[in-house]
Amino acid sequence: MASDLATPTVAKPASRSRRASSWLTDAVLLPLSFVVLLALWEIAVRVFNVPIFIVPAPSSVVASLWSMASSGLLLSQFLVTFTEAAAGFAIALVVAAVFAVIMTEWQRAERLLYPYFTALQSMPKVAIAPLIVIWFGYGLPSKIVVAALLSFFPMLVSFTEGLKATDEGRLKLMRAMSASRLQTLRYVRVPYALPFVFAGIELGGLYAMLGAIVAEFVGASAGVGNWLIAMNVNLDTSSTFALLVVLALYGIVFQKIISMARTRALFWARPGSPSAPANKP
Amino acid sequence: MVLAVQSRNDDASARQTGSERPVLASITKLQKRYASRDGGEIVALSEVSLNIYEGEFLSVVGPSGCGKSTLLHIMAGVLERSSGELLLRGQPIDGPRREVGIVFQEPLLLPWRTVLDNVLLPIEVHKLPIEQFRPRALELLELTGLSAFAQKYPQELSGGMQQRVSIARALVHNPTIILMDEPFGALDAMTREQMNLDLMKIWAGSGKTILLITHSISEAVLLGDRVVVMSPRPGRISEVIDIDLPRPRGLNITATPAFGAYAERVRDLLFARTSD
Repeated sequence: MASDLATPTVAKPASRSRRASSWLTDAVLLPLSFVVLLALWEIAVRVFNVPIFIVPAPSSVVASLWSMASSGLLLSQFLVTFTEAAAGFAIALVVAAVFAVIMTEWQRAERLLYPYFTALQSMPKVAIAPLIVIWFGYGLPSKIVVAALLSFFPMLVSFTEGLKATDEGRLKLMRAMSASRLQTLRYVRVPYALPFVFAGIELGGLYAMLGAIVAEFVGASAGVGNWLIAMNVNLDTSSTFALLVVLALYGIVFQKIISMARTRALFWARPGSPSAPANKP
Repeated sequence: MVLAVQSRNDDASARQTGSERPVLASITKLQKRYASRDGGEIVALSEVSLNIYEGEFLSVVGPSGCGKSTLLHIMAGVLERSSGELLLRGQPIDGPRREVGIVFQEPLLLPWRTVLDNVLLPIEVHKLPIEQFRPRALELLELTGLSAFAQKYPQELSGGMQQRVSIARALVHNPTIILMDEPFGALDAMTREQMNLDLMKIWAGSGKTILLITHSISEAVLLGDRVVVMSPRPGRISEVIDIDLPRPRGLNITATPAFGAYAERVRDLLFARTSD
């Protein structure tokens, strides 16, 4: 019977060579293509004499980034927006988790609540951001509310889907052990929901940042969104680009952290199953 | 190797006729009816009456749709009966009970728990002291030949090994009766025979009562003190056959004329009922 365990080793050489080729793509080809792209951009801007307020050259973007960072303004403004997004995200996470549990434990609750959530979702929340600024003021609270609103729905949907993902057999097993609802939730439903939970958190985190920035567009005295508007007014396109680079980097780092946490938490998910950690990009 | 329970059935001769032993569970005129889609009624179990004796190995064999799985699920307390009486040591079974352990057709292990933690799951769910049951869980893993795999995860094990883990899990909280719903149906023939032998080894001297649902005639005869033959539409018991074969039984017993005669009788009953 132990021989059954040996079968996976057969597949090893093939996967090793595939890993080697994906390493080549990740570590060599991707950075190389990026450098080439930047060089072409720089050359094009210089050759065609593109005005700096239309499209800045990569070199001037880097210069703006440097001056923003060295003044300390970049960090302080970024932290304002990040705090708003994080607070909104945390609220949305808790509320989504609570409603997901309620809606999966009681079918009537789902039938009763889901139409409201769908209605809320079909409303473009960016459009109600000005209203929220009126209600909650120019400060932190309005940004947190918009961030929470934007990140709530994707998390609610994936959490609900995840809590429904446990197979009937394991639920029967729990019933046969006369497990309580709470035990079934804890021992089976929540762990089986984890792959969906991570997908929801990834989306929710990005939406929370988007929400905070949009709310700052509408009215704020600090933060990345506020800054972007100011730069746009001054036609400081180079600094705008620099901020966009920072936001993109933030998104990448955030996704990387989530993906690492997912790999750790979902060590048990079989490769090839929908719950398995996604292949490396 | 003997489980930490009273081994009152050491005398092999006492095994042979279940009826000499005290009744553990009694099923009286048990019925299960479903409403069918066209408004009619489907009778899954029709007036099934059966006594299950302490410490016996009872095989239940029958074609699909004979209600054998329904019977097991009602006994497990996860399915409601329509009428009739079901007693375990004189107490009615109206829901899942701690005295019952179940092995399903699939191992149904939790992939994020180690083998040992999977075995200990019923202890946690029943809120029993885990530390107290850990030695017993390890003993069961040894009995099922899985000592070396206690800290592995289920997906690192073969199908047969996973099913052994689920058997250990069914036994860990020291239930009186173990219900097995075609536990070896998904395994290949050779693994299945090995599992049959291992199951007999686990059961021998454990004092446990086992009710095994199976599709396989030879499995039913090889393992059972008695074989209950069921027939479909409506699900009912056609006959209960005492298997007077000496224990311990090995696979070589399947080649004996006595075994062949029992198997033939079960087969006759099954085909007599299904051909009409």
